[in-house]
Amino acid sequence: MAVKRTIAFDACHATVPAALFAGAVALAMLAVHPVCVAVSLAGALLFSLLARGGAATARGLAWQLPLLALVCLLNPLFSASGSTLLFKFGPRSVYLESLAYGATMGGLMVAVVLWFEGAAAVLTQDRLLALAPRRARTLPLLLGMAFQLVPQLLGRSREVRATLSACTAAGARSGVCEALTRTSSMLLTWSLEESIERADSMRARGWESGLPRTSYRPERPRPRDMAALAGIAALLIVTATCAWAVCAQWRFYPRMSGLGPWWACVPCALLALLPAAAELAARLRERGRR
Amino acid sequence: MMGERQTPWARALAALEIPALLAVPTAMVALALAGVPATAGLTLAVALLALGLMLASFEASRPALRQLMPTAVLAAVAAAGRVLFSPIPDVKPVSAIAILAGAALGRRSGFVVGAVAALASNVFFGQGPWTPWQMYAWGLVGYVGGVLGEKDLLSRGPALYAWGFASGLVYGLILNGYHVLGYVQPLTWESALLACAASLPFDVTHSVATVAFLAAIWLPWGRAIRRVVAKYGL
Repeated sequence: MAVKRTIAFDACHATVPAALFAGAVALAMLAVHPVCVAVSLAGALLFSLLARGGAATARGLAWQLPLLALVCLLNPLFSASGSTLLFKFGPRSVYLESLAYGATMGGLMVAVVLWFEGAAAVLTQDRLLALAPRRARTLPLLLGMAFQLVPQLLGRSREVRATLSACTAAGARSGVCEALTRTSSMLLTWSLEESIERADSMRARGWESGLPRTSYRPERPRPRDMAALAGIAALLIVTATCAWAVCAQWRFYPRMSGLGPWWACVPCALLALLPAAAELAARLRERGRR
Repeated sequence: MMGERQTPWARALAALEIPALLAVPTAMVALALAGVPATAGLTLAVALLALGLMLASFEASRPALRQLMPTAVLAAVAAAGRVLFSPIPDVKPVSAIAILAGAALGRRSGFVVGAVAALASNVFFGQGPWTPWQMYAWGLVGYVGGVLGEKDLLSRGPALYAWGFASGLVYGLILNGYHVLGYVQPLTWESALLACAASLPFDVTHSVATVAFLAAIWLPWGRAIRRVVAKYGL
């Protein structure tokens, strides 16, 4: 079965989804309020289900839900505070407020992880290059090389270990740590030699000649992208103002209070649900065309 | 090594490196003491700014290809090493490789090796709000390794192993710090100490593993790098 692919942001410049996801992550991290976190988590989960599919989302949740539970439980264990005593866990008292704060922070962490996964699904490596400033040449090259080398090195490590284990004349079998250190030393020399050759071939093609190099840019920002960016910026400003007002009123301790007006959470919900709505709209449009 | 063709912009960024690295722990402590509810997000923003500044400084220093290639290779080897050693908990070669890179290639390369190794290996372990913290912590380990290397302190065994051991604790302190300061409230001295004590065995394991890695790779990897240098006349 083909891997499910996100299509919502295919038609726009990479800055549009980058701004949207950065805004969603910032909202999730900075608005420590149960409703904002719940809305952000719901939006991230919905986008993950629509864009990455149920199977990939479920695989992620298999470790994200225990993470949520761990963060939730760590708070009352480290910090016993609040006014509603739920139960005693050994010498520590577990209060409802403390548990609620832990649950909020656990939800926040999982929401951010889900937004990261969603952003990674939309902003593939080639689209990230479109985001790199034109003058930056060192870091995109370095990141691109390192990311491609890691899977190559892991493949080569299997090759090295298979060769060593097949080579009985190489002496007695060493321990796990020794074998791994030996393998990584071999990988280092192998890749270092290769990198020197790569540097030479890059220089032969004009790298470091001092002249500006032409580059093909498959993506250019168009007026439509600028309009979308302006819309996202406006939504972010409204959301930030409302989230600030809501969070300033809210108190976890000593008793949870100050929920604030419901309408102040509407911009948060709009921002959190926007990626999922865009994905749904793109899929419906595509189905309509068939 | 670097610095022959430095522009004013590169010099300004280089002067900001140490303040940026110090700003992160300062912001963590200040925000936690002030009891700001959004400490998790604000400290993350400071860490991201510091990371951005350090990477911009590396970019502005315009490293030559011959320096860039070993940096990319060491970062990839560190990331692959973390993946290879993942069956053994808390045994990660990243700190040791970042220190080696800092000593061999300079402080900025040490930072970049630590930071890129964290970013690239988290493709396998999962990205999250911890990624910038791991990038900062391992970058810092490599940067300090580079500073010590420039002062020729790492050629002596005790200093090398002392920083190797301390690096595990520093890494643990930063990673625990981001969680405890940002995600536990209300924070008391008792809870902070409890969290540090709970993670101490893991941090000490990481420290001991880093010292063991340094002992194992310092000479053979140094020899491998020198062999490549001799073979290609770098």
